[in-house]
Amino acid sequence: MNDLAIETHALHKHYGDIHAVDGLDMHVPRGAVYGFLGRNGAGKTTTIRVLTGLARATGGGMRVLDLDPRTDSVAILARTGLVIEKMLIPSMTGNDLVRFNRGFFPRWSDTLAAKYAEVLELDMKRKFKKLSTGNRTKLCLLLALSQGAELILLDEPTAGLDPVVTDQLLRVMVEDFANEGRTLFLSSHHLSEVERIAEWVGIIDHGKLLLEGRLDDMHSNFRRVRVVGEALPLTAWPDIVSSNTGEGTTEYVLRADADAFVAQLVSQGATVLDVTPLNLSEIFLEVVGKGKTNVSMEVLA
Amino acid sequence: MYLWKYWRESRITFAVGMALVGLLLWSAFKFHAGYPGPATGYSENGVTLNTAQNIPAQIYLVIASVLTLPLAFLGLRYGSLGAGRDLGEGSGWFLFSRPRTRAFFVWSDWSYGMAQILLLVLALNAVLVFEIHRMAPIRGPVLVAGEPVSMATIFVLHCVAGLLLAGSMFGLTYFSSVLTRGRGVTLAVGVIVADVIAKSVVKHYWPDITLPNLTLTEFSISRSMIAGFADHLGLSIALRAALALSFPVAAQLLLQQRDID
Repeated sequence: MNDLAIETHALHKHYGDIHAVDGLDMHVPRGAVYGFLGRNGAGKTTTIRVLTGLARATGGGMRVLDLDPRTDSVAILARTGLVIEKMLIPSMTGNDLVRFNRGFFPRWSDTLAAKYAEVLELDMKRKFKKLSTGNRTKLCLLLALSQGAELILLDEPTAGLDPVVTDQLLRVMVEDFANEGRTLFLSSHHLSEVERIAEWVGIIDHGKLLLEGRLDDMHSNFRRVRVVGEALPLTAWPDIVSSNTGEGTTEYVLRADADAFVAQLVSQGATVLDVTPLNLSEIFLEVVGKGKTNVSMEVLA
Repeated sequence: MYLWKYWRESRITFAVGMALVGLLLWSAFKFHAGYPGPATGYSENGVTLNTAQNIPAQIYLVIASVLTLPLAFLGLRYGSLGAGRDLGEGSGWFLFSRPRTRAFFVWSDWSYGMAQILLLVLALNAVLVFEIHRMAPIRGPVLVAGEPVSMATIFVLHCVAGLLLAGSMFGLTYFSSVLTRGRGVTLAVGVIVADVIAKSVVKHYWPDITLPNLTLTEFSISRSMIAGFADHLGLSIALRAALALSFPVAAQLLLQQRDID
């Protein structure tokens, strides 16, 4: 059995001239909580659609749970909980949707469904079309989480949820999935939430995966180094993600080997002011190249 | 479980249809106590018939041609349900991410819808025949286009014609709903109107050419059916059935090629 729940190689999905997914190489380990991060239009949702067979790849290779979505999408869907759009069958109540969904999944758990309904404070007797945006999201999540899936793919799972419910949901996901050895793949631009539960992170922009790795490793390796002076000799260091100069100082962001970089600077006579770690939001902004430019509030959220 | 979803969507249509059938049945008992028929008979084409025996065929002929409209509506209504409706309502991703092939959803919708249509067509025709029988008792064969034909034959042919008509409308609307993501009724009605206009234009400029009738109205009129009976009615029915079946096949192929959004 492959150690990867999801694996893509040079995956492409084009819509005419638009390259929604453009050579994506991604590796999601089995049993991991994987945060798939990207701005609006980065290619997150399209990637999930392709991985589940809802959309056809234009090129490249992929495996999901050791199966090819192009030929085995039914088998993949039988083992995968999925939330993309927050729209279910409008005329059905929550209970109707549970009844409808149950028949498709042999490992469906009514106990879990009841638990999530309580935790998420859902009125299961209301028709879906009469639910608020937040409650629609909750119901989508309830259905995906109750089907006993090995792999859960969630696209913006906390969109529209208030902070209390978001907190409850994240707890539930960690307790019921991360600790059960199942793979949880969530795309989001709510970086603080991802940072709270994810073990692995992939950052996508313009359909390409710019960074992938363990979140702990990113926290350990990414550093911001501030140095006195504006005309420093060291600009060709291989692990520099970005450098900015202004007001008598130069600021570098490095993806690795910050200690060696600092030692090199000091050996050349530079004065290092400080070396600080980066949180996920800062890493994200640096990687997508928006660290010093205007970034929408959505990304910063 | 999926059939339960289609049942939820179609149950009101089915219930209304059955209620109308029930109303007809009630009216048969309420208003038609039975027609005694004439005492004297006559002979036509070697068959001895009551004069009243032309009456049932004529009544059935008229009513059956009027039935074209509700049957077409029934087909349009059933075709607007199922997977096409989900695509239109934005829940297509949810439906098609349930672990079944896209063909499963199409043929489940189609077979369950057609089963309901079959029941409605059978019930409607049976009640109509019963009501006519209460008005003018049917005894033996009736005259159609000068030919003696058993009422059972007429009944079966009317049911087949009704099923083919409603089935074609159902298939056309279903395919249109998949194609246009939920706006199938509009497109199907547009196709029917365009078909009528095209026929009129062709008939006006090229009177010798007769385009095939999409609504199958010729099958709903006994006179044409019986005339067609001698003229390869079986082949005609098979071709109409193939046309009716081609729509769900096209819907399946379309869904299998299309990205679900």
